[in-house]
Amino acid sequence: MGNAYIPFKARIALILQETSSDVDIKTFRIKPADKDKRMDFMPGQFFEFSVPGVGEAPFGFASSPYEKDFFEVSIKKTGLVTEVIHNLKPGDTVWIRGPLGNSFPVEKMEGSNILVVAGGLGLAPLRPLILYMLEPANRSKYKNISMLLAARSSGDFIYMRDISEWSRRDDTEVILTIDRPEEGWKGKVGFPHNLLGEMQIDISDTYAITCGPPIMIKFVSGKLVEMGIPKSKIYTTLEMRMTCGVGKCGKCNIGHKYVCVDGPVFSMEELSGMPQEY
Amino acid sequence: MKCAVVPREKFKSAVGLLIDGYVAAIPVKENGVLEYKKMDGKAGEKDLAGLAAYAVDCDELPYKSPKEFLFPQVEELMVFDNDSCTAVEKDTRDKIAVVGVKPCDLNALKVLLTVFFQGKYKDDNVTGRRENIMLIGTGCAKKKPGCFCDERGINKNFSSECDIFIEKPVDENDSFRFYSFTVGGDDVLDRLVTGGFGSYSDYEPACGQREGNGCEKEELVIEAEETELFDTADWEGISERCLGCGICTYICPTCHCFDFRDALAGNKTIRYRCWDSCMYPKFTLHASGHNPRASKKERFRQRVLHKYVYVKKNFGYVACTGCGRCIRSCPAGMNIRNVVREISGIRV
Ligand SMILES: Cc1cc2nc3c(=O)[nH]c(=O)nc-3n(C[C@H](O)[C@H](O)[C@H](O)COP(=O)(O)OP(=O)(O)OC[C@H]3O[C@@H](n4cnc5c(N)ncnc54)[C@H](O)[C@@H]3O)c2cc1C
Ligand code: SF4
Ligand code: SF4
Ligand code: FES
Repeated sequence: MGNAYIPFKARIALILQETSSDVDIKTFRIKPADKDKRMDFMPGQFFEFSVPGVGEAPFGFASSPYEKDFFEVSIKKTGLVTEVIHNLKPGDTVWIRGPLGNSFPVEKMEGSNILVVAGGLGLAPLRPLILYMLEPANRSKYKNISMLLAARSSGDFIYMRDISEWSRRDDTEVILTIDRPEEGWKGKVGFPHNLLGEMQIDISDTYAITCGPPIMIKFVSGKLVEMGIPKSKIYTTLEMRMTCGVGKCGKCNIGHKYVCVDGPVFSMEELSGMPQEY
Repeated sequence: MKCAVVPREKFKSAVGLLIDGYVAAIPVKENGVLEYKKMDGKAGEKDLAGLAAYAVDCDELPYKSPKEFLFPQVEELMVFDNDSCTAVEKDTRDKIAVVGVKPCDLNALKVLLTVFFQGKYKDDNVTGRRENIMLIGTGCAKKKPGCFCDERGINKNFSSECDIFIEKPVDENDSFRFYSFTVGGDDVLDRLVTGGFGSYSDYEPACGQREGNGCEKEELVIEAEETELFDTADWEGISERCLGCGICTYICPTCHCFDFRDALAGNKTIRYRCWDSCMYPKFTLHASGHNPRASKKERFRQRVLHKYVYVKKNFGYVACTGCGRCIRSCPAGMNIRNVVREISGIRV
């Protein structure tokens, strides 16, 4: 194994502007420069993205793990590194290292119904999971796949091209919701935790996966527990400030767990045994 | 483990042989402060063996611990140019003999090394340095003000967490005993004995055999589950006087947090690794503005529980050796020993 901190070279192949509103999110398609250096990741894992001279920041993979020539990442402009990343152009050189962290328990989830609840950019780390389950070789391993996807307004949904495809399929149920009513909006209105009651959820046999702003994760998981889904079957993925991504720098701990190596995916059962410090 | 008995009159030359071929890092006193100094001057110019022998004999704890020899405060980690990113291994292959390391600091290095060696990933720079460093340990005759190694279960007279440990004579008829605990340590002992500086003996370390010789009971511990004290202790009151300066973490021999910083150098970029501290608000500040440790209450709690609970849960031992440095250095008079006593209900 090589030095855990050294990134390898890659190129930006494609850039998509995801949202037009004030939440500025772009999706970057990244191809390793060297064919032998691939990111063989599982849904839920992340990587470190370096811009030499500016710094390094962690991001979740956002594409299907079955894409072998490239991967995608969706990045919100929030600070130093993300600002510079947003100014990159196709063909530019970037530096990456990973895959890092654990992943969603896709094998344990086999044979059950799946409920995905995502808010805003929280859909990004769940997209590899959805695409993994919808992959023809895997689809039959899971029962019903339902998605409750939330955004502040209709213009804030990321992956609209995927969402329309997932909605068209007859083996998935997709519900969209926005915070406030809008003219012409055909989906739901309201926060996702308030809509869970309206969904057909077989509480005895469902794995729920949720990601979004911390407050949304809190309300949604609280509601799911209240509805009777065991904490061991509710998963989320956490964010912490990170430097090393490999369990050394001491930045990302919650109690004795390190989000970069023990996470970022945790079940509510694990989280309830940890200090509430995230 | 091997043990060689070294008579007094051969002690200095025996120490000289130990450090031969190494850059010696020896505690020397300058302006009243005892600090490790790397003696990379020409051999012979200084009486290195004499300085080293004096350091072994000296009953003082250096102001700073020797952790910088494994984990420097600032180091170049990698260099980027347009086309490549290369790991920097500068200093990681230097052969350094660190002389006169006290049992508390040897135990601290064990914690530090565990973090960098264990788990899914290894830290190449720290592990590389360890391979090239010879740790020469020595005991303490008496506790210094602020020390509480005994309550932390650390024997101030003896430690096997090193390559060579030198036990001092107990009276004028006694000799020095050099113990080895690693392959590298065994090799130098062999050279020492072959060179006629000492002879092998089946002497057992004095730990527990002589009165007042340590093997202390580890009584300063936190038994509670991590979620328990996290909420119940009065962290607000406990941390009230803390200024958040971070000195306690920089001076601590087991603290190991770091940050990366990039700097341009011509048409290259150097990525540095530098020490960081959980006592600073920006340590955990998210890009969104959210901060899980927004006030000193959370940060002080992290420092105490990390050392006494989290590291223990992950690796089996507490990350505080009782060296007392944080207590002696804190401008606000914070005292981790008293805090642990208070929150775990041990009588102060
Ligand atoms: C596992 C994981 C997965 C993630 N996935 C995604 C994802 O898919 N998409 C996404 O958009 N984001 C994701 N994030 C979040 C992403 O890592 C952050 O948005 C990113 O690190 C922000 O970096 P930045 O350099 O732009 O912000 P920074 O410039 O680091 O800004 C953050 C804040 O920190 C402070 N700060 C930073 N550096 C300094 C400094 N040198 N001195 C003083 N203050 C400083 C500033 O106050 C600033 O407001 C993920 C995070 C984790 C941990
Ligand atoms: S040295 Fe003292 S004042 Fe400074 S951060 Fe540590 S406990 Fe607080
Ligand atoms: S916490 Fe204080 S007493 Fe304990 S090892 Fe660190 S500096 Fe020494
Ligand atoms: S990011 Fe460094 S320990 Fe987790």
